[in-house]
This record gives sequence, C-alpha cells and structure tokens, in this order.
Amino acid sequence: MAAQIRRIQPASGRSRVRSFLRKYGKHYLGLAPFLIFFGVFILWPMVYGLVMSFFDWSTRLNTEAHFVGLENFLTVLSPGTQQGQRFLTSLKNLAVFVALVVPLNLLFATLISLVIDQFRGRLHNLFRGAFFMPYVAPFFLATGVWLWLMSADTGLVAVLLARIGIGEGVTWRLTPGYFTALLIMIDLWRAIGFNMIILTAGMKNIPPELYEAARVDGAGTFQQWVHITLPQLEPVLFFVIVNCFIGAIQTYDIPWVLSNSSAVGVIGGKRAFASYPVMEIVGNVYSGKEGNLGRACAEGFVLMAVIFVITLAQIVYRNRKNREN
Amino acid sequence: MKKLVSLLLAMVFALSLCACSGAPSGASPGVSGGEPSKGSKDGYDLTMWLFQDWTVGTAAEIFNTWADEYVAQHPEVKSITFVGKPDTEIVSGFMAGGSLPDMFAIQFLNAKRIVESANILNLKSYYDTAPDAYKNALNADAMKDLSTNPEGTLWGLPFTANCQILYRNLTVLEACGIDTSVRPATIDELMAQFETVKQNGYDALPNLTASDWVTSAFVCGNPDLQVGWENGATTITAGALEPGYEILKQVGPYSAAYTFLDQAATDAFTQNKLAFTVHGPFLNPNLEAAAGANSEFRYDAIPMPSQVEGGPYSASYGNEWLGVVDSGDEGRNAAAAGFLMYITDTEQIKTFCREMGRPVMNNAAMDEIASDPAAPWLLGVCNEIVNNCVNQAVPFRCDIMWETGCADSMFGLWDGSITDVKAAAEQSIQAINENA
Repeated sequence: MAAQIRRIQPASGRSRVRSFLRKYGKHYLGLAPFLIFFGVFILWPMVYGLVMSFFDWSTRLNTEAHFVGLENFLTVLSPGTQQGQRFLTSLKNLAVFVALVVPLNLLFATLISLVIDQFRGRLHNLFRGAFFMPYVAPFFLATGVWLWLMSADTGLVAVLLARIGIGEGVTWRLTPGYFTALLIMIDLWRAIGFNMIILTAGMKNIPPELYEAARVDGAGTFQQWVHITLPQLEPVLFFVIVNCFIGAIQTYDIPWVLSNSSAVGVIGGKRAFASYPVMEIVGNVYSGKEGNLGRACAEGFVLMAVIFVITLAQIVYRNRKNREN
Repeated sequence: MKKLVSLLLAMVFALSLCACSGAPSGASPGVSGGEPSKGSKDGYDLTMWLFQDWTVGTAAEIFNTWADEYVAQHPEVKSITFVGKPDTEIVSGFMAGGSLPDMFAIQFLNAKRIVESANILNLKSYYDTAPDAYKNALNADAMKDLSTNPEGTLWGLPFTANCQILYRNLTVLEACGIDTSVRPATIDELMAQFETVKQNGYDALPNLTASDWVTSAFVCGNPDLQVGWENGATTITAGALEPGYEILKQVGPYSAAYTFLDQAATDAFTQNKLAFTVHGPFLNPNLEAAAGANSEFRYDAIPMPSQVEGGPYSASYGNEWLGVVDSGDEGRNAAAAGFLMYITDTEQIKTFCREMGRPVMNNAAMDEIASDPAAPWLLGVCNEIVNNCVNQAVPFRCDIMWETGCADSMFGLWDGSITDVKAAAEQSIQAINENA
C-alpha cells in the first residue's frame, strides 16, 4: 500500500496577501491617515523642494524651470552675490542668536522649574500657568507689545534699562547688537514657559524615595537639585535642548515684526543686520525675481542641513555618553 | 509583504499628489482656457481683492454703493464681492496661484511681481473705446507707468496716490520762536529750524530709518533726480543722489531715538514734545482726533521743501492701481474691466477722494476736490506735492523701487555708520541696477 504522503503546499500568493491583510490590515488602515498626510504635506514637498533647488524655478508665469545644477547653492553661499551676502549675514546672525538663546533658555527654564517644583497644590499650578501664559499669546501681538515696551525714551522697559545705563538713547529695533538683545529677551519671555512645563513634568517622574533618602543623609535642597534632580532629568533636558535648537534655528516671526518688514522687498533692516535665514527664504519666495523659488529651496536645504548636523551631533553625543554610563 | 503594502501606500500618495496638482505647471489656476464661465448664464459673480482698510467703514460703503450701481446698470453682472487683504497677502496670493479674483487693487511697487505671476488682462482695447473725457481725466504719468512694457500692454487703471508729507507741530514751533506762517523755502531753511528746535529742548524729528520710502523724502528734492529706466539701467545718477545724501548725514543728529512708526512718535507729536514728523497722508486721522481732544495741540502739514529754491518738493508719489485677472471668458473680462472703468471715472472717484481724503490719480476729480473749500484740507497739500515731486514708480522695469536700492546707504548715512557720500551713492545705483 503506497503510503499517501500529503505534501504541504506553500500558500499561494493570494492567500498570503489575504492572511497578511487579515493580520496587519487594520494596523495599516489605522496608520493610513497619518501616512497620507505625512506623505502629501511633508515628504512630497521636501523631496520636490530638494529636486527644485537644482532648477531655476520661479513664480513667474510662462517660464520653464531649467536644471542649473548647484548654481542656486553657489549663489546663496557666495559672498560675491547680493543674495549670498544677505544669506551669509543671516546665518551669522543666527549663529550668534542660537549660541546665546539656547543656553539662556535652558538655564532660566531649569531654574524656574526647580523653584516651582518646591511648591505644591494651587500655588504650583498658578506659577506654572503664569509662566506658560506667554507661550500661548499670539506671536505678532506679543512682539507688538514688546515694541511698545522697548520704544526708546518712552517704553517702560527701555526707560528702566536706560536708568541703569543700558541702551540710553538707543533705538533698540534699528541698532545692531541691541536688536539681537531685544530678540533674545522676547524669545526667552515666550519660550521659557513651554520648557518649564516639560521640565516640571519630568521632575514629577523622579521617585520621591530618592529625595527622602537624600534628606535622611542630610542633603540640602541645593544638593538634592544637583545630585538627584538634574541627573534624573537628563533625558528630558536632552529633549528640551534639541527642541530649543530647532526652534531657535527656525526663528522668523519675531525678527520679522521687529524689523517691520511689511514690504516684501525690504527685509531685515540695514545690510540685513536683523535678517535670519527663514526671513531670507520667505523674502526670496515673494521677491518675484528670476529663479526665486529655486534659490529659496536651496536656502531651505542649507538650513535643513544645519539643523540636521546639529541634531545628529547631539544624538551621537548623548548615545556615546549613555554607553559610557 | 510589509514592503508591498508600504509600496502600495506610496503609490496612493503619488496618485493623491497628481490629483492635487491639477492644472499643468505654468498655467494660472484663474485661467479657464476659454471654457465658458459658470456665471455667464445667470450673470457673473465677480470678486475683487482690496486693501484691508478699504473693506471697512466709509471706504467699504463707497465700494458697495459702486457695486450696487454697476450691477443695476449691467444685467450680465449678478454680484460683486469685495475681499479685504493686507497688501503682502495680495502679492503672495498671486504668487501662490490658487483661486484668483476677477479684479484686484495693488501698489505700483508690487506691480512687476503681480504681472509676472498671473495672467493679467490687457485693458488697452477697453480703454481705447472709452470716451475722451474719461481718458483725458486719468493722470497721464500714471497711465504711462501702467503701460511701460515693450508690448504696449495696459496692465491696469490708476486709482489712488501717496506722498510723503512734513507734519509740523505749530505749538512747539511757535514756542521756539519760529514763524509758522511762512513755509521753509529750502531744505537748508528746514535744517535751521531743526537746530532752533533742538536748542529749545524739543525733539526735532523721530528716527525715520524704519522705512526707505519715508527716509527718501530727504533725497528727492533735487531737480537732477530723474527716476526712470533706460537700456536696462536706472536713469538716477550717483551725482543726483549725493546732495540728498549729504543732507541725511546732517539730519541724523537731529533725530530722536524712537521711530516714526512707534506710538511714542505720535504721542510725542500730539503732546507737544516733537516738532516735525514725516509720514504719508494716512497719519492725519490720528492727528485730527488728537487735535480735537487737546486744544493746545495745533499742527499742519506742508510739502518737504526742495534742495533749491523753486525746485521740486523733496517727496515722491507712488500709486495704487486696479487690474483684472484674465479669466479666459470675454464676457467676464469685459464685465470686470467695465467695473474698474466705472469706479475710476471722475464722478465716482470724486466721492472716494472727498470722503476718504485720499489723493486720486484722476486729475479732473483731484483738481475739483482740492479746490473745494469744503473738502479735507490735506487733499490740497497732497495735490500740490503730487504735481511737483518725483514720480516714484517705474513699476514693470525693476524688481525693487529705487528707494529700496538706496536703503542701506540712506540708513547708514543717517546713523553715522557710513560717511563717504560719493561711495554710498554709487553703491545705491549699483544696488538698483542689480535688481533689474
């Protein structure tokens, strides 16, 4: 009797698809809205922008975009061209701004969080709410109010600062250096609240036993901050630092309002002293000049490369530090 | 399998994007390619983008009345809707494409950007068939500016005008012993008044360098300054800029730290602490309100004096114009063009001029209103300035206005960071020409 051997046939393509869809279909369906929006509104514009940064693409009607290779990048990075001069100046302004605003933001947000964390109940919520309030104020409105406060000779803050010898007789919004200081003040006033909320939330997750043990060992408040709170907050601090960097690098609306750029042809004040890269990109888009969109795309990718390199460096540094620990 | 599903999703993205892209690249979405318009059977529903401040208050009432009158006279037009937008949004709207209006208002300084980013209707055939009385009334310089392209296209119709005005605080000047019944005949005389004001402890001027247009009011009063465009280069010469640049160097030390845009400047002026300010006619409503509330605050407005006696006023006038987006439907285009010609006609625009107190680019209307004692007093001053100052515009030749090319130099001379007038003037000319 011949033994009947039933060989297991591999499942056909169609049944494999069916079983896959049965198993994972709902997951992909759940992801689909995000993926479609991500693809249409983020991924595609990015890829398209990258491609068009190699073309002399413009807003002008009836003009064809031609491949120009690296010309747009060379233009915006060359100090010999008007556009290049402006963009390089804006990058220099940005470097100064980021180097000052990120550490200051981190310092003040951490200090305020540490102080607020000492309170419990309603007072804690009150302080958190009060410091967070500027973050939800509309940018343009808040900057307008600051312009009032910093108006030379009459603005409340400008007058107080002048009394202690800072910026006496200075037009803050039109003077290089003072403009950066004003920008940093407004940015800190606005952004500290957001970082403070993240840090205080992080502090809530630190096990209270650590503090109890420290107190038993006789550690004071300051020692608890240094030896428990800050080390335990490290992952949250990392997020805050990365977030601060990205936010600072993309700065746009505050300097735009401060330098009063209602006319799209004139941005960033005298010799672009108040210009930042995103302002240059926007200015390029609406300049209407030949190849304006291609140059704006190139500027956008230079800025993206800067953000990418800084963020990558931060991640590599953190991973290396984690491994060492 | 996961890869296959991911690939499928990617294809879905691609298809959605193709669906989103719609019209072929280069074509304005407002152009229907000759397809009959939806509104042609029942009447056209026209839309017009206007400056935001023209869609509120008195201006809105005037535009709505014009629309009602036009619709009543033209059965082919069912409605006209006005949409208010800031000027930057009008420009960005045209550049981004999308749904464009039938008609729009925009300044000359943005004209080149608009006509290069959308299909703007050539109004020449409509204009040519208009009565002579209409054609003769429109400001000839503005009409020339709106036609300055090699093909002889007429891009639009001129509407309103702006110019820099010197506002004087009479209370402060009289306290300084200055005779306000006589206007300073030259910029030098005005500078002498700045000095007197300063010596009496008042502020002479706010800082004007927040705007290239306002700062340029100290540069324009030179008979040799010819704003124009020939053979791909500006007709302005470095030599014509130099005297004005010398003046800027001298004016800087008289300026207060607050800018003319700050509320502090208006407050200082209306509280009798500031003697002069330079601004457009749009500052006047605030000053009038302040004068009504405080009898000790008295002011007037005069033209910025020339650099030479009897020369052109040291000011430039710019315009706002109205245009039509080519819809591809002749009937719709004619309806839109007809409406613009209706509102720029003397009878209609007179109302706008009188009620809004704004100079208009219709000479017949402007002359009639400016000589009417019941008309707003500032109109007479504006009319005087517009008729004897530099025309700011060469709207379709250069990507920037000439003052923008001069901005860095003018601001630097004002704040003292630039001292070499000749080099600054040459650099300005180069900056203007680089934007051709």
